[in-house]
Amino acid sequence: MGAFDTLRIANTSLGAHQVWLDALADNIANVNTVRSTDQDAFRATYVVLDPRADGGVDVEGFAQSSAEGRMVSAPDNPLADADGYVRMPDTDMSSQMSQLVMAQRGYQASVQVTKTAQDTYTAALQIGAR
Amino acid sequence: MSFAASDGVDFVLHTAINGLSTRQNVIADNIANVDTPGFRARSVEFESALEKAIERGTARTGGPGALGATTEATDTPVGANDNNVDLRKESIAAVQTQYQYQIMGRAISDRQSRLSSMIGGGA
Amino acid sequence: MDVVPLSFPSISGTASINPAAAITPSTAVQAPAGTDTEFGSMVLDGLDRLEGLTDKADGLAVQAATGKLENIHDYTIAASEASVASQLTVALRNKGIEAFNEIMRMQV
Repeated sequence: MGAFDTLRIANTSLGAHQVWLDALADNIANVNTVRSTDQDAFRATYVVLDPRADGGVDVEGFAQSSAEGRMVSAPDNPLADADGYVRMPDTDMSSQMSQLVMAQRGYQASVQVTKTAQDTYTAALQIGAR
Repeated sequence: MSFAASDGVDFVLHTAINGLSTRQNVIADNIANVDTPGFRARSVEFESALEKAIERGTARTGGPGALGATTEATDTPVGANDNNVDLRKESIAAVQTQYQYQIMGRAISDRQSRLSSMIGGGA
Repeated sequence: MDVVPLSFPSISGTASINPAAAITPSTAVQAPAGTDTEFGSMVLDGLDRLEGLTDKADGLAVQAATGKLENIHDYTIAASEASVASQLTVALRNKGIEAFNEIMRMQV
Protein backbone atom coordinates (compact mmCIF):
# COMPACT_ATOMS: atom_id res chain seq x y z
CA MET A 1 0.00 0.00 0.00
CA GLY A 2 1.45 3.30 -1.08
CA ALA A 3 0.66 4.78 2.30
CA PHE A 4 3.29 2.54 3.92
CA ASP A 5 6.10 2.95 1.42
CA THR A 6 8.28 4.52 4.10
CA LEU A 7 8.10 1.32 6.12
CA ARG A 8 8.94 -0.82 3.13
CA ILE A 9 11.91 1.36 2.18
CA ALA A 10 13.24 1.38 5.74
CA ASN A 11 12.88 -2.39 5.80
CA THR A 12 15.02 -2.82 2.69
CA SER A 13 17.70 -0.75 4.38
CA LEU A 14 17.50 -2.85 7.54
CA GLY A 15 17.94 -5.97 5.47
CA ALA A 16 20.87 -4.61 3.45
CA HIS A 17 22.68 -3.27 6.51
CA GLN A 18 22.17 -6.59 8.28
CA VAL A 19 23.85 -8.38 5.38
CA TRP A 20 26.71 -5.88 5.57
CA LEU A 21 27.06 -6.39 9.32
CA ASP A 22 27.10 -10.17 8.86
CA ALA A 23 29.84 -9.89 6.23
CA LEU A 24 31.92 -7.58 8.45
CA ALA A 25 31.50 -9.92 11.40
CA ASP A 26 32.74 -12.78 9.24
CA ASN A 27 35.73 -10.77 7.97
CA ILE A 28 36.72 -9.70 11.47
CA ALA A 29 36.27 -13.17 12.91
CA ASN A 30 38.60 -14.57 10.23
CA VAL A 31 41.28 -11.91 10.38
CA ASN A 32 43.76 -14.48 11.70
CA THR A 33 42.70 -17.46 9.61
CA VAL A 34 45.80 -19.12 8.29
CA ARG A 35 45.97 -21.07 5.04
CA SER A 36 48.85 -22.87 3.46
CA THR A 37 50.51 -21.35 0.41
CA ASP A 38 48.99 -23.80 -1.99
CA GLN A 39 45.49 -22.63 -1.03
CA ASP A 40 43.73 -19.32 -1.42
CA ALA A 41 43.92 -16.97 1.53
CA PHE A 42 40.74 -16.24 3.40
CA ARG A 43 38.97 -13.66 1.26
CA ALA A 44 37.15 -10.84 3.01
CA THR A 45 33.69 -10.12 1.63
CA TYR A 46 32.64 -6.67 0.53
CA VAL A 47 28.93 -6.01 0.15
CA VAL A 48 27.89 -3.97 -2.89
CA LEU A 49 24.74 -1.92 -2.29
CA ASP A 50 22.52 -0.50 -5.01
CA PRO A 51 19.49 1.79 -4.86
CA ARG A 52 16.16 0.25 -5.81
CA ALA A 53 13.99 1.76 -8.51
CA ASP A 54 10.95 1.86 -6.24
CA GLY A 55 12.87 3.32 -3.31
CA GLY A 56 15.19 1.72 -0.80
CA VAL A 57 18.40 -0.24 -1.15
CA ASP A 58 19.32 -3.69 -2.41
CA VAL A 59 22.36 -5.87 -1.97
CA GLU A 60 23.50 -5.99 -5.56
CA GLY A 61 26.30 -8.47 -5.06
CA PHE A 62 29.44 -9.34 -3.22
CA ALA A 63 33.09 -8.62 -3.97
CA GLN A 64 35.95 -10.45 -2.41
CA SER A 65 39.45 -9.43 -1.49
CA SER A 66 42.46 -10.98 -3.13
CA ALA A 67 43.17 -14.68 -3.01
CA GLU A 68 46.87 -14.10 -2.51
CA GLY A 69 46.57 -12.43 0.85
CA ARG A 70 49.77 -11.71 2.69
CA MET A 71 52.66 -14.09 2.83
CA VAL A 72 53.75 -14.27 6.42
CA SER A 73 56.73 -16.09 7.80
CA ALA A 74 55.65 -18.61 10.40
CA PRO A 75 57.98 -21.61 10.30
CA ASP A 76 56.43 -23.18 13.39
CA ASN A 77 52.97 -23.26 11.89
CA PRO A 78 51.94 -26.80 10.82
CA LEU A 79 50.59 -25.30 7.59
CA ALA A 80 53.84 -23.60 6.66
CA ASP A 81 55.36 -24.49 3.33
CA ALA A 82 58.99 -25.40 2.64
CA ASP A 83 60.09 -21.77 3.08
CA GLY A 84 58.12 -21.34 6.29
CA TYR A 85 55.43 -19.11 4.80
CA VAL A 86 51.72 -19.20 5.31
CA ARG A 87 48.95 -17.14 3.77
CA MET A 88 47.11 -14.66 5.93
CA PRO A 89 44.14 -12.60 4.74
CA ASP A 90 44.99 -9.09 3.70
CA THR A 91 42.08 -7.68 5.70
CA ASP A 92 42.61 -4.14 6.92
CA MET A 93 41.27 -4.30 10.47
CA SER A 94 40.90 -0.57 10.91
CA SER A 95 38.85 -0.37 7.72
CA GLN A 96 36.66 -3.22 8.88
CA MET A 97 36.09 -1.61 12.28
CA SER A 98 35.15 1.74 10.82
CA GLN A 99 32.81 0.00 8.38
CA LEU A 100 31.30 -1.75 11.36
CA VAL A 101 30.46 1.61 12.92
CA MET A 102 29.03 2.84 9.60
CA ALA A 103 26.89 -0.24 9.13
CA GLN A 104 25.56 -0.06 12.65
CA ARG A 105 24.76 3.65 12.29
CA GLY A 106 23.03 2.98 8.99
CA TYR A 107 20.95 0.25 10.60
CA GLN A 108 19.98 2.44 13.54
CA ALA A 109 19.10 5.33 11.25
CA SER A 110 16.61 3.13 9.42
CA VAL A 111 15.16 1.91 12.71
CA GLN A 112 14.61 5.57 13.56
CA VAL A 113 12.92 6.09 10.19
CA THR A 114 10.56 3.26 11.06
CA LYS A 115 9.65 4.90 14.36
CA THR A 116 9.17 8.31 12.76
CA ALA A 117 6.96 6.77 10.09
CA GLN A 118 4.79 5.24 12.79
CA ASP A 119 4.44 8.64 14.49
CA THR A 120 3.41 10.10 11.13
CA TYR A 121 0.73 7.46 10.61
CA THR A 122 -0.60 8.05 14.12
CA ALA A 123 -0.77 11.79 13.48
CA ALA A 124 -2.60 11.25 10.18
CA LEU A 125 -5.16 9.11 11.97
CA GLN A 126 -5.83 11.92 14.45
CA ILE A 127 -7.19 14.24 11.75
CA GLY A 128 -10.89 14.68 12.38
CA ALA A 129 -10.98 11.91 14.93
CA ARG A 130 -13.66 12.14 17.59
CA MET B 1 -28.57 9.98 -2.82
CA SER B 2 -27.47 6.85 -1.06
CA PHE B 3 -28.40 7.09 2.55
CA ALA B 4 -28.83 3.35 2.80
CA ALA B 5 -28.07 2.26 6.31
CA SER B 6 -25.92 -0.58 5.06
CA ASP B 7 -24.59 -0.77 1.52
CA GLY B 8 -21.65 -2.11 -0.42
CA VAL B 9 -19.18 0.14 1.36
CA ASP B 10 -20.03 -1.39 4.75
CA PHE B 11 -19.49 -4.86 3.28
CA VAL B 12 -16.08 -3.87 1.95
CA LEU B 13 -14.99 -2.29 5.23
CA HIS B 14 -16.18 -5.22 7.34
CA THR B 15 -14.50 -7.75 5.08
CA ALA B 16 -11.29 -5.77 5.22
CA ILE B 17 -11.27 -5.39 8.97
CA ASN B 18 -11.95 -9.12 9.42
CA GLY B 19 -9.15 -9.96 7.00
CA LEU B 20 -6.74 -7.64 8.79
CA SER B 21 -7.63 -9.18 12.14
CA THR B 22 -6.88 -12.65 10.75
CA ARG B 23 -3.63 -11.31 9.32
CA GLN B 24 -2.58 -9.93 12.71
CA ASN B 25 -3.08 -13.34 14.29
CA VAL B 26 -1.10 -15.12 11.59
CA ILE B 27 1.76 -12.63 11.90
CA ALA B 28 1.83 -13.07 15.68
CA ASP B 29 1.95 -16.81 15.13
CA ASN B 30 4.86 -16.45 12.69
CA ILE B 31 6.82 -14.26 15.10
CA ALA B 32 6.19 -16.62 18.01
CA ASN B 33 7.57 -19.48 15.94
CA VAL B 34 10.73 -17.77 14.74
CA ASP B 35 12.86 -20.51 16.34
CA THR B 36 10.61 -23.51 15.86
CA PRO B 37 12.33 -26.19 13.80
CA GLY B 38 10.53 -27.02 10.59
CA PHE B 39 8.04 -24.14 10.87
CA ARG B 40 6.71 -22.53 7.72
CA ALA B 41 5.53 -18.90 7.88
CA ARG B 42 2.03 -18.18 6.58
CA SER B 43 0.44 -15.08 5.08
CA VAL B 44 -3.15 -13.91 4.74
CA GLU B 45 -4.63 -12.66 1.49
CA PHE B 46 -7.99 -10.95 1.01
CA GLU B 47 -7.32 -7.70 -0.85
CA SER B 48 -7.28 -9.11 -4.38
CA ALA B 49 -10.42 -11.18 -3.81
CA LEU B 50 -12.11 -8.07 -2.41
CA GLU B 51 -11.01 -5.97 -5.36
CA LYS B 52 -12.39 -8.52 -7.81
CA ALA B 53 -15.70 -8.63 -5.96
CA ILE B 54 -15.93 -4.83 -6.14
CA GLU B 55 -15.20 -4.82 -9.86
CA ARG B 56 -17.75 -7.54 -10.54
CA GLY B 57 -20.28 -5.67 -8.41
CA THR B 58 -20.80 -8.59 -6.07
CA ALA B 59 -19.54 -6.68 -3.05
CA ARG B 60 -23.02 -6.50 -1.54
CA THR B 61 -24.15 -10.08 -1.45
CA GLY B 62 -23.86 -12.13 1.64
CA GLY B 63 -22.95 -10.97 5.10
CA PRO B 64 -19.63 -9.43 6.02
CA GLY B 65 -18.05 -12.83 6.40
CA ALA B 66 -19.05 -14.08 2.96
CA LEU B 67 -15.73 -13.06 1.46
CA GLY B 68 -13.24 -14.91 3.57
CA ALA B 69 -9.52 -14.38 3.96
CA THR B 70 -7.21 -17.15 2.76
CA THR B 71 -4.12 -18.22 4.63
CA GLU B 72 -1.25 -19.75 2.72
CA ALA B 73 2.36 -20.67 3.25
CA THR B 74 4.84 -18.00 2.22
CA ASP B 75 7.73 -18.52 -0.13
CA THR B 76 10.49 -16.94 1.95
CA PRO B 77 13.69 -18.97 1.77
CA VAL B 78 14.23 -21.63 4.40
CA GLY B 79 17.12 -20.89 6.70
CA ALA B 80 18.87 -22.75 9.47
CA ASN B 81 16.68 -24.94 11.62
CA ASP B 82 14.41 -25.67 8.63
CA ASN B 83 12.54 -22.47 9.57
CA ASN B 84 11.56 -19.79 7.06
CA VAL B 85 10.31 -16.97 9.31
CA ASP B 86 11.84 -13.63 8.29
CA LEU B 87 11.60 -11.79 11.59
CA ARG B 88 12.21 -8.34 10.18
CA LYS B 89 9.62 -8.75 7.46
CA GLU B 90 7.05 -10.05 9.95
CA SER B 91 7.73 -7.15 12.35
CA ILE B 92 7.21 -4.55 9.65
CA ALA B 93 4.09 -6.38 8.50
CA ALA B 94 2.78 -6.33 12.07
CA VAL B 95 3.23 -2.55 12.26
CA GLN B 96 1.57 -2.00 8.88
CA THR B 97 -1.36 -4.29 9.66
CA GLN B 98 -1.90 -2.50 12.93
CA TYR B 99 -2.22 0.85 11.15
CA GLN B 100 -4.43 -0.56 8.41
CA TYR B 101 -6.70 -1.93 11.12
CA GLN B 102 -6.88 1.52 12.72
CA ILE B 103 -7.75 3.13 9.39
CA MET B 104 -10.58 0.63 8.90
CA GLY B 105 -11.81 1.29 12.43
CA ARG B 106 -11.82 5.02 11.67
CA ALA B 107 -13.66 4.47 8.41
CA ILE B 108 -16.39 2.37 10.00
CA SER B 109 -16.93 4.67 12.95
CA ASP B 110 -16.81 7.80 10.74
CA ARG B 111 -19.62 6.44 8.60
CA GLN B 112 -21.68 5.48 11.61
CA SER B 113 -21.28 8.85 13.31
CA ARG B 114 -22.19 10.66 10.07
CA LEU B 115 -25.35 8.59 9.89
CA SER B 116 -26.26 9.05 13.54
CA SER B 117 -25.71 12.79 13.34
CA MET B 118 -28.31 12.95 10.58
CA ILE B 119 -30.76 10.83 12.54
CA GLY B 120 -30.20 12.52 15.85
CA GLY B 121 -30.17 16.00 14.44
CA GLY B 122 -27.26 16.95 16.64
CA ALA B 123 -23.47 16.92 16.30
CA MET C 1 -64.99 71.02 6.28
CA ASP C 2 -63.89 69.24 3.15
CA VAL C 3 -62.34 65.90 3.67
CA VAL C 4 -59.26 65.70 1.58
CA PRO C 5 -58.32 62.10 0.84
CA LEU C 6 -54.92 61.30 2.17
CA SER C 7 -52.42 60.15 -0.37
CA PHE C 8 -49.47 58.19 0.62
CA PRO C 9 -46.24 58.00 -1.35
CA SER C 10 -45.92 54.56 -2.93
CA ILE C 11 -43.70 52.19 -0.99
CA SER C 12 -40.72 51.14 -3.10
CA GLY C 13 -41.06 47.74 -4.66
CA THR C 14 -44.78 47.58 -4.41
CA ALA C 15 -47.61 49.09 -6.27
CA SER C 16 -49.22 51.97 -4.41
CA ILE C 17 -51.67 50.72 -1.90
CA ASN C 18 -54.95 50.44 -3.69
CA PRO C 19 -57.62 48.34 -2.00
CA ALA C 20 -59.40 47.87 -5.26
CA ALA C 21 -56.47 46.18 -6.93
CA ALA C 22 -56.47 42.40 -6.93
CA ILE C 23 -54.06 40.94 -4.52
CA THR C 24 -51.47 39.28 -6.68
CA PRO C 25 -48.12 38.02 -5.62
CA SER C 26 -46.29 41.24 -6.00
CA THR C 27 -42.69 41.58 -6.98
CA ALA C 28 -41.70 42.35 -3.42
CA VAL C 29 -42.56 38.89 -2.25
CA GLN C 30 -41.00 37.07 -5.17
CA ALA C 31 -37.25 37.21 -5.63
CA PRO C 32 -36.03 38.30 -9.07
CA ALA C 33 -36.65 35.63 -11.67
CA GLY C 34 -33.80 33.15 -12.14
CA THR C 35 -32.84 32.44 -8.53
CA ASP C 36 -34.62 30.36 -5.95
CA THR C 37 -35.16 31.56 -2.43
CA GLU C 38 -31.79 31.92 -0.73
CA PHE C 39 -32.34 29.50 2.10
CA GLY C 40 -33.82 26.80 -0.11
CA SER C 41 -30.91 26.95 -2.52
CA MET C 42 -28.46 26.85 0.38
CA VAL C 43 -30.00 23.60 1.58
CA LEU C 44 -29.99 22.02 -1.89
CA ASP C 45 -26.40 23.09 -2.58
CA GLY C 46 -25.45 21.76 0.82
CA LEU C 47 -26.98 18.38 0.05
CA ASP C 48 -25.17 18.15 -3.29
CA ARG C 49 -21.89 19.09 -1.71
CA LEU C 50 -22.47 16.64 1.13
CA GLU C 51 -23.16 13.80 -1.30
CA GLY C 52 -19.95 14.59 -3.19
CA LEU C 53 -17.83 14.71 -0.05
CA THR C 54 -19.42 11.55 1.37
CA ASP C 55 -18.79 9.68 -1.86
CA LYS C 56 -15.19 10.87 -1.89
CA ALA C 57 -14.63 9.72 1.70
CA ASP C 58 -16.30 6.36 0.96
CA GLY C 59 -14.18 5.87 -2.14
CA LEU C 60 -10.98 6.49 -0.20
CA ALA C 61 -12.14 4.14 2.57
CA VAL C 62 -12.67 1.41 -0.03
CA GLN C 63 -9.20 2.14 -1.43
CA ALA C 64 -7.77 1.73 2.05
CA ALA C 65 -9.65 -1.59 2.42
CA THR C 66 -8.20 -2.99 -0.81
CA GLY C 67 -4.72 -1.76 -0.01
CA LYS C 68 -4.61 0.98 -2.63
CA LEU C 69 -4.57 4.10 -0.47
CA GLU C 70 -1.63 6.38 -1.21
CA ASN C 71 -1.65 8.39 2.00
CA ILE C 72 -3.48 7.94 5.27
CA HIS C 73 -4.20 11.65 5.49
CA ASP C 74 -6.03 11.53 2.15
CA TYR C 75 -8.72 9.47 3.82
CA THR C 76 -8.78 11.26 7.18
CA ILE C 77 -9.03 14.71 5.62
CA ALA C 78 -11.84 13.62 3.30
CA ALA C 79 -13.67 11.98 6.21
CA SER C 80 -13.28 15.09 8.31
CA GLU C 81 -14.67 17.29 5.50
CA ALA C 82 -17.63 14.97 4.99
CA SER C 83 -18.36 14.96 8.70
CA VAL C 84 -18.32 18.77 8.92
CA ALA C 85 -20.50 19.05 5.80
CA SER C 86 -23.04 16.62 7.23
CA GLN C 87 -23.18 18.52 10.50
CA LEU C 88 -23.67 21.76 8.56
CA THR C 89 -26.50 20.22 6.53
CA VAL C 90 -28.17 18.97 9.69
CA ALA C 91 -27.84 22.42 11.28
CA LEU C 92 -29.41 24.04 8.20
CA ARG C 93 -32.24 21.55 8.29
CA ASN C 94 -32.85 22.18 11.97
CA LYS C 95 -32.85 25.95 11.51
CA GLY C 96 -35.24 25.60 8.62
CA ILE C 97 -37.64 23.55 10.72
CA GLU C 98 -37.35 26.01 13.60
CA ALA C 99 -38.12 28.94 11.32
CA PHE C 100 -41.05 27.11 9.78
CA ASN C 101 -42.49 26.34 13.18
CA GLU C 102 -42.05 29.95 14.24
CA ILE C 103 -43.98 31.10 11.23
CA MET C 104 -46.73 28.57 11.84
CA ARG C 105 -47.03 29.80 15.41
CA MET C 106 -47.59 33.40 14.38
CA GLN C 107 -51.02 34.75 15.13
CA VAL C 108 -52.44 36.25 12.03
